[in-house]
Amino acid sequence: MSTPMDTSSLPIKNKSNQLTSTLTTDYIVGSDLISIEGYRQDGRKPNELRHFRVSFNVVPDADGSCYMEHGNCKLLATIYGPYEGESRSNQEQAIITCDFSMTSYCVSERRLRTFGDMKSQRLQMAIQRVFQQAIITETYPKSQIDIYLKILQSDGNDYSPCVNATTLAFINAGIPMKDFVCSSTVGYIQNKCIIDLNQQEEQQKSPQLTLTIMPQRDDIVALTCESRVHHDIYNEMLDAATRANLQLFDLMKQAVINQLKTVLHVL
Amino acid sequence: MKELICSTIERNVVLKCIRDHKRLDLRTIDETRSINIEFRAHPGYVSVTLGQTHVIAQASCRITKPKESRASEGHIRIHLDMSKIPLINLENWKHQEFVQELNGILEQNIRHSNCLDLESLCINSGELVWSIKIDLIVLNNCGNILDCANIATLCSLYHFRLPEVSVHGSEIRVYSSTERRARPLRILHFPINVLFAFFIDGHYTLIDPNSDEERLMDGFFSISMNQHKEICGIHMGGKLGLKKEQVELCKKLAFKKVLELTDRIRQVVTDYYKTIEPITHAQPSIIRIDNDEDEDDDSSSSSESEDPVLIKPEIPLSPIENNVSLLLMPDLDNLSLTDDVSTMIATNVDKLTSDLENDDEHDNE
Repeated sequence: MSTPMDTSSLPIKNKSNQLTSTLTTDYIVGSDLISIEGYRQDGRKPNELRHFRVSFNVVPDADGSCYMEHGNCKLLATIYGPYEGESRSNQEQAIITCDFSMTSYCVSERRLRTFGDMKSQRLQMAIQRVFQQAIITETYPKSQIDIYLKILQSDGNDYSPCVNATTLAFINAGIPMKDFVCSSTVGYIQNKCIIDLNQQEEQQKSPQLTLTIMPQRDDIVALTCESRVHHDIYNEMLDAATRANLQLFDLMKQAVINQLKTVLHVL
Repeated sequence: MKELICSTIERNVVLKCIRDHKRLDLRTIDETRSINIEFRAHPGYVSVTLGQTHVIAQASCRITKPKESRASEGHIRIHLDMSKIPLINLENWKHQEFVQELNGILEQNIRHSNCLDLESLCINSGELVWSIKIDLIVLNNCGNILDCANIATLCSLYHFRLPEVSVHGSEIRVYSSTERRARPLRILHFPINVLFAFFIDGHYTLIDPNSDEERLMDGFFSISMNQHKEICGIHMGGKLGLKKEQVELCKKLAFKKVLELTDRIRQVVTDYYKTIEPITHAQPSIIRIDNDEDEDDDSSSSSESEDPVLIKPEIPLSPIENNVSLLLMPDLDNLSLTDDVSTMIATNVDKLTSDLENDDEHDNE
């Protein structure tokens, strides 16, 4: 007699169980980074960027600064310069140095070594190289420009948000550049290209590509692909990355225009 | 890689040549320098010269505990050691950066592309795994250390032999190469690196720059592919702004080089092992009986060179051995590769009179 009662209550239970069970298995197994409906773990579609927010002039003492939130990645980029370089500095061009550090609380486990390790050094070199190319260094001979980057909260790839934040900080500092520099990552999971990877998606062993371009000049400034990718998939990923960068460029340009509007009260 | 002091005349000459699509050493734009690969008896040692650039690689193995997150995978590490000698003109800190960058590219190339099957390095899951380390030493730098070091790494990995191991409960026993033949590493594919140098605002490209060209390049673009047309890694450096079409072109050129080099590496290593194996390892190989005085017999020596694996080279069998082998393994004449089996039997019987045998061979061939 109790069974009819149970069976009548069962369908309702089943429904909720089904819903919750698919969600929990997705989360536990972790292999379904793109759910059946086409959404990623954080609710984005494969071609959507993370939430992007920028504010300028955060460090009043610096010549240019930018605080950027790109999804869960929060960082601060500060520019000092151009100022008189050291005696060994280049006579014809400005030297750009980059200093990258993280805070101990930026990742979920407390990080003891916040600067000077391999990853930081590589990032420093990469950013220095990118901006040596992007800044019109001939306008400041014998001088030096310092970039200071601080990660307050890290969510996977630090390189792309750093490049974007540095671009905006340079614009805030008024240093002439050839073009914006935008960077984003692209992954290939479950036969789809997904852009702007967060940490969970990046930790998968799937193919990934980081593309840094100057969008208006259509120049590829840096391209790193560190996993094994077939030729055709690579082309697809490159296209997706270019589109992602153009989206980012629009967001960045809008942020700069808004900043100008508030500062100059231009309608 | 840049910022080396270069005289104005040198710079002008090299750039002028590049504008005319020529190079000082008479190569074409997409021609690499000649590659010379040499091995020594010790497995895993290889010396590669790319033109004048000379890199040595040595692979070594060690048994260690695996990482907790990857309990059944071995480790691989690549260490590029470049003392100051090959690069005199770079300042201290730049030299360090340069070495680190190269090291990073090489390591990512091998690790992230999964060219080596790490699970095959496992001895006891969770407790003991093999850890392979490749040490690279640059002896001479005449441009393009990256490609040279990469080839050296791959050759070294392919050449290296891992000792046999047997597990008895909690003990393991490692056999030396005389007890049990060491086995090769499981390499799934060869990610070969090709370096492109860009000049004059990225308008002109060269493959495999030598030291002059490397000093004057704007930046480099290194692409690593394997023969299945999979891209295993891309790295850009220097002051470069590239267009998509240039990247495409580089990929196409790189792929051609990759095919050639993959065949070459495979060929070189297998050739090396074919020549040394009959001597070094203890198991008997299949031998042809009619093998003694062959210097004066051109026809038989030429037929010998067709199947080197089956023939024991230049170790003369004593007559006693010959007799013994005949007695114990009478079926060996069936394994010989000459057409006339009946005449072979006749010649084998007359083994002790080796002159007669040679005459017979002369008659038959």
